[in-house]
Amino acid sequence: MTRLILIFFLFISYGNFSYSINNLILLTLINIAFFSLLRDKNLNYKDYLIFISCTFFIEILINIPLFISSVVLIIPIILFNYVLNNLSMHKIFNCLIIYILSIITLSLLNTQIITNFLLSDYLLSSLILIFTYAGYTNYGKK
Amino acid sequence: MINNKKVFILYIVCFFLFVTFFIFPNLSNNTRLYSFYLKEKIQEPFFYINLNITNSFHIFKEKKDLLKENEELLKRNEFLKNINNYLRLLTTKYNDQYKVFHNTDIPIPKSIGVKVIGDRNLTFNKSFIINKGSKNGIEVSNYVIDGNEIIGRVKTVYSQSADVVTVKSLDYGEEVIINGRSYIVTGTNNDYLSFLRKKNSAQEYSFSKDQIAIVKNNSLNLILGKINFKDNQPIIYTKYNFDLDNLRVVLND
Repeated sequence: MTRLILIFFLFISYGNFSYSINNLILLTLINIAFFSLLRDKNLNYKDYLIFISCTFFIEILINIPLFISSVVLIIPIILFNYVLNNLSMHKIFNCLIIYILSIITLSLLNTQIITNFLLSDYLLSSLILIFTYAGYTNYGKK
Repeated sequence: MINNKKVFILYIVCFFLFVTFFIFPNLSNNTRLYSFYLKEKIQEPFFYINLNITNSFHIFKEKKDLLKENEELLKRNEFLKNINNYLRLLTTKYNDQYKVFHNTDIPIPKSIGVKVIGDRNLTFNKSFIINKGSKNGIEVSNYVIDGNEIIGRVKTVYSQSADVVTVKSLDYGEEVIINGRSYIVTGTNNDYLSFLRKKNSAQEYSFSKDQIAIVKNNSLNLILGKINFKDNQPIIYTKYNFDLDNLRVVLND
């Protein structure tokens, strides 16, 4: 429910702030999507619904074919989920992997980020890492 | 890995939706447009709240700026009033010329220039003698000024000279106005004047340093000195050395 509310607010707030904040909003949405799929070994339908809604909003916002992530991108992510959750690493490493994956995805979606990168603008994104860890500790793999 | 029927059904639904949107791009565009329309509608109350908050903040900031500006203007006004006083005093020099052209006296207090004769160093009794007296219109209690600062008051008048007691003298007493309230002060034979206090009086002074003590003389405001503190007691500091070269006596109308 928390994620759904957050997704809703992120969706309506996108476009009303500066360039870097908009990118941070996208990064948060991507992070939520990855977290929903990678947080547990067994994929729950609720998590999949959250992933669908998250990717749907991202697709609407950045104008890519609708439902492509829910159908195509999900397969490698599920395979990666299998690898990640069978390695029994510490939660912090899982969070870091999700965070890095989100950043890579965002950079692939918007390559201008790499050329116009300013650390001070994206320092706030470290908050995402903290929240992902909090999410992992409360709702992570059983 | 996936042992959930619901997930699989959801995947199939998504798959068909994806295929439909992919084959019919118009449908995809409509969905996108409708989503943005909804997004805009949902944003409206947030925009309204944001606008109100921004407006309130702007009004608050503007009010603060205006208050600051007002304070500065008041200070500037006070400064200009002082300059005006000073210029009016200077204008009294031209009384004779004014009389030639208008056949009347200048409509502000008259003053005459005087020279100090006798003890200029104010060594013993903090008073001096000036070279003009009753023949020139000087009367007892006339103010002796330098610019618009009070140097002293005429104590005794002779026909050709007058005795002036300076503000530093123990014999000097005055009613001054500070912040619109009047107080009685007296000289101390030092460089400052002290406030007179009634016996057993619990009167508290609420002064701040460098406030100007003025004396009202007809329409002129003359400066006596500035507020300072000595042993936590308020005093009025006067100049350490008086310039006795350009003295004038303000005459009564």
